[in-house]
Amino acid sequence: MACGDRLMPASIREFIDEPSLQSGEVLYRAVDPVYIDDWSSPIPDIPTRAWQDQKQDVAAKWGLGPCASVAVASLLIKHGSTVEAWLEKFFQSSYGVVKTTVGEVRAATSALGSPTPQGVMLHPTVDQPWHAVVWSKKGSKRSKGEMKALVTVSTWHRHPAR
Amino acid sequence: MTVLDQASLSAREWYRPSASRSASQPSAHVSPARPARPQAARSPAPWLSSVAARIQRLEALDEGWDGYGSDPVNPDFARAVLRFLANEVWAITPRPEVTPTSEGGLSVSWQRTETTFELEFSPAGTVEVYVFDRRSSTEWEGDIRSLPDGIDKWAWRVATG
Repeated sequence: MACGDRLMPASIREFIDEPSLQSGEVLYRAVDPVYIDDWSSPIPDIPTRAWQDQKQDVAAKWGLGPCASVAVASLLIKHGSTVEAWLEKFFQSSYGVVKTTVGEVRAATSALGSPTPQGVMLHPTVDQPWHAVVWSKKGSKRSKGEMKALVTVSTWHRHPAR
Repeated sequence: MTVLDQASLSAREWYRPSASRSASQPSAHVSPARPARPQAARSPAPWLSSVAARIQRLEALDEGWDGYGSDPVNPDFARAVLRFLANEVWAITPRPEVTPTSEGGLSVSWQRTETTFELEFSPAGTVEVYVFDRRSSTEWEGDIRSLPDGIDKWAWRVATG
């Protein structure tokens, strides 16, 4: 489970766009291979659903509103881990990983260039001290347009295996 | 009943998860009428069996399948989505990509050079649409019943790239 073993909070906390996370900070997001339907090319397109928020009731268990989990690259290193070890322990080896930066996430825009502002908040857990979440500053579940905006600023670090 | 009427009816009636849905909900968007083609000419998209196989595989997902607590895809709901896609309005389009959503829904999307069209079917019975058309500089997202210009136009745009 991506959110780790936190105690269940009593209420939803307010998101804070973490000022200590600089624009160049790299973020990783695990991508389930089930999101890939077209395997005809060697490197599949990044699916829109790579950036869908987790279910609201699941996020609420961790005291969060709608958001998507990410790993902060510098914190992975700081805690002596790697993307590969993270995938191995918390997901499956067939998962892919997309990467982006805090600055790109914050400045993401729609296909027509409208702002689709996203925030990044640190959310360390006991077993994942590098855990953070990306949320829509619109204040509701991430829309499909916002997911696509995040796909645009993401690249494969490693694509999923069939 | 015209092809367009059928598509609109499908948008409204495609799935009823419970008896609690109100009869007073907004009616489906109705496109301008066009003469109906003969019944014999109507057939579903050639990709329908491939999509059905894909959906069947997604039905096998367990609860929490993505590691983020996502819901499984309900088989009755999945069949309703397939019935929606069996409408001949989709027959001119290439095969869409089908992916599960975290709420146990299904996303059906076409990513073309000029046009992106995505339908998000929710187990609650709603269909949300995202469209982006480079040619007309259109980007829109909302309930399918409010889709500008109707389903047939977008099926055509998807078909023509």
